[in-house]
Amino acid sequence: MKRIGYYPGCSLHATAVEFDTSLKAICQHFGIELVEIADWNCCGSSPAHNNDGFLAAALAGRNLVLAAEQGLEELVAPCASCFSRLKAAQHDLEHNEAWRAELEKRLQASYQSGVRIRSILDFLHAVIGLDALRDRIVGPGLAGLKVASYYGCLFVRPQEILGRQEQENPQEMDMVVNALGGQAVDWPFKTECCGNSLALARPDVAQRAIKAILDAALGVESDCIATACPLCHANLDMRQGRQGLKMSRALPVFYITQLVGLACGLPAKELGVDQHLVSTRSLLSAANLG
Amino acid sequence: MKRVGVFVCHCGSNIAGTVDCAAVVAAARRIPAVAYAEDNKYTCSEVGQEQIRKAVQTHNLDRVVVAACSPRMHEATFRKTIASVGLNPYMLEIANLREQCSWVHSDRQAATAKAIDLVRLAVAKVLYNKPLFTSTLPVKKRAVVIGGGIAGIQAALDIAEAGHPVTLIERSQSIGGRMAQLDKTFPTLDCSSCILMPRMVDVGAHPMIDLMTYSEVEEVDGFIGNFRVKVRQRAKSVDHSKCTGCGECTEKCPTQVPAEFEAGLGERKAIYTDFPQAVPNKPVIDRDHCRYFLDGKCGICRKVCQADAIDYTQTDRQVEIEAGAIVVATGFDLFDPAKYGEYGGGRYPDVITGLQFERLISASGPTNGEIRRPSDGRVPETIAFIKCVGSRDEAHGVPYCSRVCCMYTAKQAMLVKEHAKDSKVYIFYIDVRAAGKGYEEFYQRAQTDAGATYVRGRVAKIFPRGEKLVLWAEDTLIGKQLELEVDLVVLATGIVAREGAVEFAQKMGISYDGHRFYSEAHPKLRPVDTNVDGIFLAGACQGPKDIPDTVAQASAAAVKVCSIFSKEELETNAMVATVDENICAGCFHCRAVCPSGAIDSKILHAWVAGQDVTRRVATVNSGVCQGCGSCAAACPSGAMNVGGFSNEQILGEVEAL
Repeated sequence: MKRIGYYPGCSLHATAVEFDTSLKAICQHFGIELVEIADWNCCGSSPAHNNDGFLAAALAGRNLVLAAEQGLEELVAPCASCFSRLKAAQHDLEHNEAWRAELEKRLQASYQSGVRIRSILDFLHAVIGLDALRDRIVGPGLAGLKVASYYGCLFVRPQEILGRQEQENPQEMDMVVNALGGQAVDWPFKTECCGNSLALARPDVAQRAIKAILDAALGVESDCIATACPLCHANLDMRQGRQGLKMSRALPVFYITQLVGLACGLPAKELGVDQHLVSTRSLLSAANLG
Repeated sequence: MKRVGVFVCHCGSNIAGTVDCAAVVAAARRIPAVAYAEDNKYTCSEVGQEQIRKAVQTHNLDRVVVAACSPRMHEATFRKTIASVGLNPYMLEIANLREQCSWVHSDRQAATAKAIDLVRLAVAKVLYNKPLFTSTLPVKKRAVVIGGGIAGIQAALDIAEAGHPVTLIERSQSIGGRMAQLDKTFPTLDCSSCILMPRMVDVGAHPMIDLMTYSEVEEVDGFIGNFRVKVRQRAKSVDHSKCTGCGECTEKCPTQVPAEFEAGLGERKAIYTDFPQAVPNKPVIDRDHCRYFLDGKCGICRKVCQADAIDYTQTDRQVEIEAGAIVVATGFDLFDPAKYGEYGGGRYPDVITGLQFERLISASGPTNGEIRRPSDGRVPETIAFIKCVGSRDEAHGVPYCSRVCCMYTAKQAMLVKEHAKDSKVYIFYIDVRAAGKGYEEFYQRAQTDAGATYVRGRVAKIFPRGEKLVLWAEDTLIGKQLELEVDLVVLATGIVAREGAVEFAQKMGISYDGHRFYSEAHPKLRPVDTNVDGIFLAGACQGPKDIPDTVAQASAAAVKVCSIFSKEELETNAMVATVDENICAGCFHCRAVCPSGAIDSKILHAWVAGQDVTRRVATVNSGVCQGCGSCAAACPSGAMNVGGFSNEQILGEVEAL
């Protein structure tokens, strides 16, 4: 059994609990043991790094210290924001000796570099693998389902930390969708801003951003959207009911882990697909899924 | 008794602003060997040089130290100065108080102390200077011009018109280069072909120009007056001495290949000329695509050729050319807009480059001069031009301005009015740079006559919506975001150095800058010279340039070549390596490190105890030696010395520290 560290962050224990349950379900299915970091704390997103760089590095850094202490060589952080903060903290602590020394002093522990932090997409590719996904599809998998892969901002940016050249047209989620038998549509809004926390502070601005993404997904006739970030999911799923969006039809929004589970024939209930605001029922029954 | 004169230059305030020159003079006077020292406001001025001459005569000086700017700047000047009063020109040392002291320091006291040290070193070195002498070598009066664009064409014609033979080497099938791909030129809207083609024909017909197309330079060695250029003439598979250029083979060839000349918008055959007015107007076979070469079948071109000119058995030929001077005119590439993911990264067919737009509006282009969208052939109602794509964008590694895009975009906007007069044109810009004769007026006309709407702001994103393309941008003049639906987007892609520019520079031994453009010897005063004597630059291989500037630089390079050819013999470098044969053990470490191939061996005979004892020692070909000093550094016995940088001189400096 493969063993990998798990940093759920606050979202996967609360607003995005179906991201957590679907991830656990597929891990069980593929024989992967998720080891939640004991005594983990907040990753700091987003207030910490907007106020105090060291605080941000220290908050996320403590989790890295714990992971190393608990013998975890790699860990998966499914929430895009957690992933980004952990990667940023690792980058900062490895480039800023003063911060590293300060962190070690305050924690009374030594910082070990080299914990491999995986995003959920990296996890699906490197830990499970596309071939394994293809092998475990039940029946036609997602056949006939046109999926708009929506990555949001944090899987591809910032360049100096993630080292990616390509920020506009990532392919990792599309490849997973295609491996599951679905059809990933080509669309130009994969990494466009979802409005983030402006959904609370400036709902008018966020609504414009959300509408642009949903319109673009409808424009290429997709059946649903796949996400890999709790905040993206919240904005795209929860706000479709708003007046002013004027959507021609509702667009179910899934976590990519839910789509993996559905294609592998896991029960819909276990994957939490009934916990979204936009109903997934008619789409799934039409596609013979769940 | 050696008598040294020291002359400290203020260089206006360049040196005197940071270094206390009077203190440097006072310190110099305390050095025992210094017979005379003074400071001048500008030592390089006529007055300053006269002071040196006077001092040499009055104080009977036999060697001189000038403490001024870099020796690259004025060493030659002061060598002439002291030579005019009878000293050997090499009895001079320069202490670089400007570039290596005053310009890089701000603490006056410390800078003055360092300046005094630099003068002490120079005095210690000059005490060991020995008179050096030059010899002469004959000049090979043939020029090699590399690259057959407008720069190479102009340089070749100018040199040939002055009566000197020229070999013009071009990589593609035809000369003409980028200019041949353009439709019209700013700011006069002259037809590019109409002004270029006569020059191309002149090159093809000129008795002094030997044109080698489909050829590449493989190796360059030698030195000014005596270069050897190895050229690989690729197999054309067509015997050009028989071919009449009738074009029958091209017409009948069944293989279609994307045409380089059409910038990806059109096709050519496997046996082809780059364009209908090609020079030479005789085709070559592209062996990577020809069916005969791929699977041995076809052979249609040979069947239809009435002149029996098709020759599948031709092989590449190596040719060696001896030349006295070289002009490098290898041109540029366009920035690849696929690096802009936000503009579709090359995925949207109706987002094209400025060069592709040139082909669209060209009467000989793939649409016969009609502006049609590559995707569906529709005439666009709205066209957006985006400037600075791959220019002034550090995120994409191109911080510099490409200089031509503002003007070519204004020109293309004007041509839209000619070709599709109902189309609406938007131009997105950061700044408009129209610094050139008649350029500002031309840019104004693009707005007034052609009615182009200039929007100040970078486009953030382009994406398709139905058949249209949507642009998101900010109009920074009104501080608002805007969304615009258009039919065609033209990216004003910038100029970048040629692919392979660095490898080519290394072949030539010339230097290049951080963006891989070739470096001129001095940014202001030697703009066409390279760091290698006898190799000159013309056109955009040196940096982004428009046609008038390119032609001017090409003519300037031609004059430089002709000035070399005006002499029968060239003076050789006096600062070359010499071997002390008494010490040389014949290990030939020197030969292994010599980058110029200047070291040979010779046999020495000596009678020892009645026997003829032979000994092999190194010898330097002073015509080939560039005086780099590698051999002297490698020599384990100290037998090898470079004139002007002898071991004694350098140890003298070290001891003075």
